[in-house]
Amino acid sequence: MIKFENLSKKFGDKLAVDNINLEVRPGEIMGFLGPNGAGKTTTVKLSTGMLIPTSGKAMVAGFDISKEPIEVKKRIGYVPETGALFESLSAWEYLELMTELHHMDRSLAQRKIDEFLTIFGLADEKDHHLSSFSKGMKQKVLLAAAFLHNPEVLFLDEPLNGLDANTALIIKELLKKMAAQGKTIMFCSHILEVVERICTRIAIIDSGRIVADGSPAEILRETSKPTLEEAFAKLTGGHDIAASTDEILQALERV
Amino acid sequence: MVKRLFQGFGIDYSQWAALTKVLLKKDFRESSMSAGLSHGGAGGRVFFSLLFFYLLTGLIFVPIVLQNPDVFLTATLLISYTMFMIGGLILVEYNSVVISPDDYPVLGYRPISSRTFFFVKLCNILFYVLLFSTVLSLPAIIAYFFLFGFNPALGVTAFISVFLANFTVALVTILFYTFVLKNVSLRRLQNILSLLQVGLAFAIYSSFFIIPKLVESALFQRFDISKSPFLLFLPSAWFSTYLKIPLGKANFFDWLVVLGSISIMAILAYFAFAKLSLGYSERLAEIAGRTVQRVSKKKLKWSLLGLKLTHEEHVVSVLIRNQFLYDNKFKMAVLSILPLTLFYLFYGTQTGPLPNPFETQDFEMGRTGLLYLLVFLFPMMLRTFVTQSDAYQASWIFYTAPTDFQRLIISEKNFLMIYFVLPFLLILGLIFYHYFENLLHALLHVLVLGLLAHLFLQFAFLFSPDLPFSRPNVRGRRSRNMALLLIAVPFILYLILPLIFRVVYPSPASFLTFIITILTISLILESLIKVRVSYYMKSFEFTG
Repeated sequence: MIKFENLSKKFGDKLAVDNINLEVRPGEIMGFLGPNGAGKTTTVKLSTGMLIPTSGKAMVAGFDISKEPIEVKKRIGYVPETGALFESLSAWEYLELMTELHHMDRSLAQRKIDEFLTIFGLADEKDHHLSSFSKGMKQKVLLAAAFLHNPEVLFLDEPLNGLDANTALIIKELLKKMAAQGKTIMFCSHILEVVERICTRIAIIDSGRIVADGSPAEILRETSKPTLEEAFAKLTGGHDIAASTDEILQALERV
Repeated sequence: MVKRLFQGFGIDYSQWAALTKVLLKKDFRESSMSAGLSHGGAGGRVFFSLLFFYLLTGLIFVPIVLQNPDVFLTATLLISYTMFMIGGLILVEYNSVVISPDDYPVLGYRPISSRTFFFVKLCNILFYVLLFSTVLSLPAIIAYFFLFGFNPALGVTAFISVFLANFTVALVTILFYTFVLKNVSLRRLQNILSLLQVGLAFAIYSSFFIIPKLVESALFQRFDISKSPFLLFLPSAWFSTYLKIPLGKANFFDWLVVLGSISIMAILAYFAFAKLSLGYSERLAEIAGRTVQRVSKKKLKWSLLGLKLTHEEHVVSVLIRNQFLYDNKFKMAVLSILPLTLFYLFYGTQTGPLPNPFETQDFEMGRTGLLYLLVFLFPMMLRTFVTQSDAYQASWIFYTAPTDFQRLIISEKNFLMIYFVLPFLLILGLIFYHYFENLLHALLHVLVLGLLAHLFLQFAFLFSPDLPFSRPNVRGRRSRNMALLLIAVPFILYLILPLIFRVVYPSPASFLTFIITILTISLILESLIKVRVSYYMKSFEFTG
């Protein structure tokens, strides 16, 4: 379970997350959407203990992240948007380090690492430095690192970034099944089609505030728009698409 | 047993073991890998050549230790030297061990306690302190082993005192960073670090000259902390007092000093323990993540000394200027040249009037060589700096844009000459004019030096035509290159320059011939650089 109560985060004078109240229940895949700089990643970082809230509370897996961060971190899996990894390590070494940090039984950890690397098609490259990996390969390592310790709650920030179509398909199906098993999943993405397809609920954040929260059908109904794309544009003050493209074309043609 | 001990301190043993191993592995691989990607795996060599150089510099202390029976004096000198060097290394090359926010995005959401994280970081720092302390002091410590016959207790105590002194330096550095970081922004911290580095560089360079003077000085005839309490202000003297213990010369006051130094270290460790936490790392990541920085409103003009800049020249100008303003490593590297310059200028003019090579038949370089040394050292050091950056991966743009690599590299060289070497030559010109009292001689002399400096720079670019800021920063590379230059350039200069002054300066005809020759060589080198770049371009690959 994830629960935000009046959660806020300020950077200097800028209020990045503004008094958010939201609850994601076990078994739910919550699509967390918003334009660039809206506060999605900051919210996820607040939930994972990467940032400390300025005010309010973030409860994850039954623990307050500010008070019991270690308990929360034991129970979560996180795929960061930045794709940050220790690139001088091999895929095997990186995953092994993560299992050590989660105190996994070593023989079980090794078996799991092997399995994950094989499933993601990285078995042959397991001893190569991560710096030599493509973006998609690194993303697979990040996903494996998030899943290895079988977490209760998953925070996935653009998890399909760089993945090939086949792996993306596997991940989407996997997430649905994990949710069916009772895991709580927060899924941040800009790919609205994917969000619409796999998320049971959607929350849209704009300028740090939640501007919509409900099932995809409810959001379409509330905004009176036929597609999620248009609903998103309406809720987040998107530009007139035709006018914007015309402006770009005019700029391109200027000599 | 060990696990229980760790548990008692609130440290998770298995996490500590895994992280310590991985962070050291990561450090070593990053040194060798990043260089290896671009230029054939030189990173490991850089690290080991730096160790080798430090081992060599440590040899200076062998005669000092063996010839002077005053162990307290020689140990104070040795410890002062290693403290400066370790402080400098932590500030310049290994500050990322303390102030890098890189670990946080990877580890911040993992279940690691602040205490475990601190201990991992501390062990990481301790490793480098131990390694570099050993290398810097090894020759002197071996000398202590055999100073009064075979005396292992003295050697071991010398090693312990050097290590503890340097550990204290590391703790002070940690506390300094954490204290400043708590109170100022990262941007301001970077400025403070720049200033501190300038100060420290000044101390290091001047110590090379001051230490031999101190050894000769009458001040040290009675160098004893119990007789000269002012020495208590010198931290290295606290630790050198340890060496009196195995010699059986420690009195009550000396024991107090030893206990005092250990207490200070324990207090520093206690405070550092509280500071270097995951929360500290979080703050680092948070402020490093705030990328909003006010970019200087001043824009570069599209001309340089009245000449219209080509696109490549403009690119180089903008890059170097902005890297200087916003890339702290580059700024610190460039600024560290300043104290060296001032010190050499000051020291080079201390022997009285500078000899005018147009009028002196038997030109002796002497200490004035330091002035000439700078003319050549300065651009060569800068050249090393402008090719390296943490943002080297951004150099992909050179490979995908229709950039003329020849012009880009020539512009790099010209920018260094015009913006850095020329102003320095003008200052030198004024100094020469002051001493020669002949404007024409001063101008002609500066002209020759300028042409020769340009020639050196051309050779450097011919040898290694790197694109601006396209190579990764490899830990230790700057220190190693600087050390190599400090050894190699004077060697060449003390041979070549006096010869030129004696042969070329006496007659106008030989002088003119020399200038024409240099200009011709310069033109040939310019063409050779272009040929080399066009040849080299075929193998230029983006390494990010």
